[in-house]
Amino acid sequence: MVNGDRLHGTLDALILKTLSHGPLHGYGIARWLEETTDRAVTIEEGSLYPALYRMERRGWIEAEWGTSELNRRAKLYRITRTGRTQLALETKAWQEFAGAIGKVLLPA
Amino acid sequence: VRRAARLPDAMDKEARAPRLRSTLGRIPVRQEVDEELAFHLEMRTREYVEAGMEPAAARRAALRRFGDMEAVRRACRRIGEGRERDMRRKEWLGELRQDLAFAARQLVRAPGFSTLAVLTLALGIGATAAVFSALHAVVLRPFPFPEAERVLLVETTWRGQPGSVSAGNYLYIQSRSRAYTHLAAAQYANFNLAEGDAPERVWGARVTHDYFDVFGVRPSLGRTFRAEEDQPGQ
Repeated sequence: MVNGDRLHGTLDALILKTLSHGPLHGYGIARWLEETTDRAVTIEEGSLYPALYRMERRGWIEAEWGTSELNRRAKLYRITRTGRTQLALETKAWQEFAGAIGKVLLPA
Repeated sequence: VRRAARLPDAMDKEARAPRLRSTLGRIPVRQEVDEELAFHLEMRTREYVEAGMEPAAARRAALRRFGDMEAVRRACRRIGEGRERDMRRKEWLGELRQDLAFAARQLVRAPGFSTLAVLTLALGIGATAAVFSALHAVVLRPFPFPEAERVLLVETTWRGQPGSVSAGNYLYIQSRSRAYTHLAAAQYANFNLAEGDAPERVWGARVTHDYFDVFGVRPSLGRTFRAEEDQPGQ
């Protein structure tokens, strides 16, 4: 099912996956995703930050003020236990979605 | 796995930490969003400078890359304020539950004190209710007839002492005064009501015929007096 929920869910899953390696600030999440995907995925700041606030409100991630690598005060996000459960759900949904698309685009 | 290896008191401290942070360490949502977005912009600018751009050009590029910053700021603030509301509500309910549980434990722990407190409250509330009932009946409750503010009690004064109006004075005032719509006289008296086996003493009054017109009330059964009934000899 390709709809807004799937795309939303994918962005959430990408952020959750990034945070599953350790706490990061918003800029760090954007950079990590750009570098890991060889810049194939560039995250729009316009959707990244609202997504972070939305996920924090839902309790999937939590934030606290910490110090960035350049000794600057930065808001650091950390994945929560509910966040990890959500990541597993989103990953499974993505697998099913990719599998279904694959059946159409990549016939054996 | 990591969590299981921790000491109990460390886990306890961790469980309490988010709450402390939310009440003490939180800055206003507005400032939180501003600082976070400013940090992002600064980092992106730095990234472009390191890639060889002039600082001013790098900043412009970072701003362009960000897009509609005001819209993002607004969206984040709105969600953040919702988050704060949720959190405050949750904390309030949690504290209420704790307070109630604590109160219940204290009451059970000290039954003598609890009984005394309950009795004190019961007596206090009872006494207040009684006093208020009396006050309500005497002072606050309206008279059981309409336009009570237009009804007056006429008295005469003799040597500085108030007294009731004599029959002669009543007739005199009634024939001369235009200030009253009705002027009625009443003389309070006891009557014997003898019906059936036991006679009863009832408190009543002898009144002139327009007594009921003064108060604008009608009997629920029968009629009041007619003017012609209020004549000598009737």
